[in-house]
Amino acid sequence: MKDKVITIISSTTGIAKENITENANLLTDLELESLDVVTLVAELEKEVGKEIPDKDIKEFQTVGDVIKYLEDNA
Amino acid sequence: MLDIYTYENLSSQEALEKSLKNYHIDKYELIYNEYGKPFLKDRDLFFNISHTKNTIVIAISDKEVGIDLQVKSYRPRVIDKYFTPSEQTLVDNSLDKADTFTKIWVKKEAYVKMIGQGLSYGLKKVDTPLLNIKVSKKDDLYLAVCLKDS
Repeated sequence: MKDKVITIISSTTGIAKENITENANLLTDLELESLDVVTLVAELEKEVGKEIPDKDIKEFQTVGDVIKYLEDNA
Repeated sequence: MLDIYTYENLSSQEALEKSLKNYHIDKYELIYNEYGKPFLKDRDLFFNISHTKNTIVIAISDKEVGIDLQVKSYRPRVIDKYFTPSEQTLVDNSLDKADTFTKIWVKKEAYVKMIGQGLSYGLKKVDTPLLNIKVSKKDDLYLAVCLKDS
């Protein structure tokens, strides 16, 4: 799941994979904007085939949070 | 009352401090709601911040306020998931889909930021053609401001 999430973040944002670590904060480190976050969510939904409710997006602080969420909710 | 301040290359904190000096506020304390929206403690002023690239905008008002600044963009998958049927039709029928997309997006964002829940509110619950929110453009930057009761 880790490789999949990092690949999707990289393809959605244009950030090189090697610069995306599990500890990276989506907003402050990777400098994603809200539009980037919802684009990421939409791409992740397509990849994992499962809906991510809007209320859960606030749990996505770091890359690791996204990975854990998808593992827990797969 | 609504004032909007624009800065280049400042942090959110620096921009807020600079803006609040216009209201003779040198010291302030921030409190946050459960969704993380900041408010000025014990003040009758509301503020909201948005930034994109190196530009930051701050709206200050006596009413609850949300602001969004966005570079012109086009994200088809976001349309599928987050736009209402009437918004999807507007984009479909537009000659400049990125222009229409970005206008709708900044309105949605400004609205959910005014509400104070951000993305958690549910973007598809916000049907922007029903809202009285104006969008201003400068080059490829789009700005929307939403005041309570818009």
